[in-house]
Amino acid sequence: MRSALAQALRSLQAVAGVWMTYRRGDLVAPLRLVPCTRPRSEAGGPIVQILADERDFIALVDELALDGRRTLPQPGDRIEEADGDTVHVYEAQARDGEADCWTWHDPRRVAVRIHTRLVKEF
Amino acid sequence: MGWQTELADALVADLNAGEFSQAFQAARRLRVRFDLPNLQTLQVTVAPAARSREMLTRLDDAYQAQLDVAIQKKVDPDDAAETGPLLALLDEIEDAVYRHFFDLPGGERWGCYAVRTVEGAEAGYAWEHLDRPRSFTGILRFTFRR
Repeated sequence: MRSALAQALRSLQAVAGVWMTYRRGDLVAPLRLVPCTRPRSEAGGPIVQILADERDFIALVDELALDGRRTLPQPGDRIEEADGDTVHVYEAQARDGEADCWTWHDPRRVAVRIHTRLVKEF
Repeated sequence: MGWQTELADALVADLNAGEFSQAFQAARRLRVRFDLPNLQTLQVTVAPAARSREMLTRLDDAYQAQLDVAIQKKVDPDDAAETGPLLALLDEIEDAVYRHFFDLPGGERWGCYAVRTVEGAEAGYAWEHLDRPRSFTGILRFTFRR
């Protein structure tokens, strides 16, 4: 079951995956991720509102590695997506009402879904 | 322009003319609403809050206005080197406004006699925004009278 699921997710990755840069501090790794759009969010609060473009990225757990070691997403990890002359920088952040910046994508834990918000474009 | 707006503009001009440890260009806005990528740049906003006018005598009124000053920047909330200077700026702005007087073009003189925090930012900053969207939001509410 797990291998069949992994094969299906690899097919998804082959069709919809995009090479991006995964960054944690000074550690950097190229990673093929499947982007999933989400509605814009609004962080309310005292007096101010902060609007953000949210995006999830699906990553195969076996490929998510930094400095040669497998890892799981951490808040503050950054994903850089090149789009023509523009680079969109997304930061791993928990969604509203959730504790972690990622969730398992599937019950067999083949892939993770990384929750991010757009923080920068250059 | 309304009297509270004139006071807000005077505060904006005063902040922009002041010397602070960090460079910023304050602006007056009726609501404080930013896209997250815009917070890569330090944003200082003055926004009108409550206001009141009470009759003192048959000829004189007492005016009171509250203005919120919001300090916002995208940070790594766990990095004191990023949050520390913003907390210091919060104190600097408080010192620059509290107990100071502002002369408006029409001749009115307003004095700032109180500074308070607001609900959700009792420490001076919104801790919820540090969690998500991992940004610093400092808020001071100044009360002025003339």
